[in-house]
Amino acid sequence: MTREEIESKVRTFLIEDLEVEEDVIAPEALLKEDLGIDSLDFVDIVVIVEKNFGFKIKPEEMADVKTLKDFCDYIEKKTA
Amino acid sequence: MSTADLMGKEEKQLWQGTTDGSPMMLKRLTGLLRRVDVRLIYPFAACALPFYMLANPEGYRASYRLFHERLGRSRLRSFFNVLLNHYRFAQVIVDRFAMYAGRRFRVEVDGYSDFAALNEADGGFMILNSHVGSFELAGYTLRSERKRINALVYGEENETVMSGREGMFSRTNVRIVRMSHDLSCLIELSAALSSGEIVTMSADRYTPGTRTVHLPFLGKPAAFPVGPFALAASRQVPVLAIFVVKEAVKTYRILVRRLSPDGAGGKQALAGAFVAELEKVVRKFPEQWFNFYDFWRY
Repeated sequence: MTREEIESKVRTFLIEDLEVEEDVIAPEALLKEDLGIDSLDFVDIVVIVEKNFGFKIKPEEMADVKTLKDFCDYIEKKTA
Repeated sequence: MSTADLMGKEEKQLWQGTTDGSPMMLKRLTGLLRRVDVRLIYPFAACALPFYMLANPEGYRASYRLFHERLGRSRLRSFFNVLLNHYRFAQVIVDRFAMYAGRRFRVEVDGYSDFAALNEADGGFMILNSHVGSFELAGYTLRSERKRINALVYGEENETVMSGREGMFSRTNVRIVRMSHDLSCLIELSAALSSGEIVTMSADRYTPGTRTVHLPFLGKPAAFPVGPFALAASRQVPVLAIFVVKEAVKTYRILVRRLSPDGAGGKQALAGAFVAELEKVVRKFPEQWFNFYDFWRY
């Protein structure tokens, strides 16, 4: 999967499933502070990532994921 | 019905979540219960009640409001109900330490076939419990050899209680998962469900700063945690509600209620189904509901 495809899928589920406003989505956006994603949203994100990217998120791997770019980097690394 | 975010910075946790008493005191209680029947300890617990209630006036008031305002009982009857409420709580605590000490209780299960069916089927499922009676006892009774049971517990409970639980559960297929303040434990539990395991957690208390859903409960809206219902809905797993009530000195009854066959309908529907079942049980056994704080404040 290309980086563009990853970013497109992430953008789609942020808007459609997590109801994040389109205009706040940017690579440097902080997941919690800017996109409003809290721990409970990760319950849905875990399932969405499994369905879209085919791997299971481990809590300890998310410790350094702070921005949207970090999240896409993480997915890219796991799907490489 | 709507979801509301709590003002985490200002909201304080209204419930303690820990068992009173120092670890040494609780260890001594466990040791005593190895030699002495619970019926000999209950009277001492009853004698301690007035002092306990005086030291915890907020708990007394919360219990009184439950009986007088929510259940419509007279002031005098509510007063005696409050005494009974506190006494039952003391009994259930003593019983818990009796179990840690190796004592056994007679347990009847109402609706066991619902648990058995889900246990035999493929796929994970959730068990939601509440602070009615002694849920912990269900963990020792409703066992599964096929599927690991992941029990979410409050992370800051007394070490003697945690040690007692771990001792009991070491002989079963139960893994204790301590609740984390940032709810990252939910990701771990989500993975457990997707692996076909069982997840059990309380659904009638929330941690300040986490999302809640407000639903009518005993005639007035109350806040319930969204987490348990969101978890079940996201994985679309069957959900059971389980309540364990004390019926006699040495007898408990486990009530198993099927809330959803597949988590469909979303978290709101699941929350509504759980609260409806909880209300039925609390109306029938109000003296065994142990939330000694203003449950309807949010």
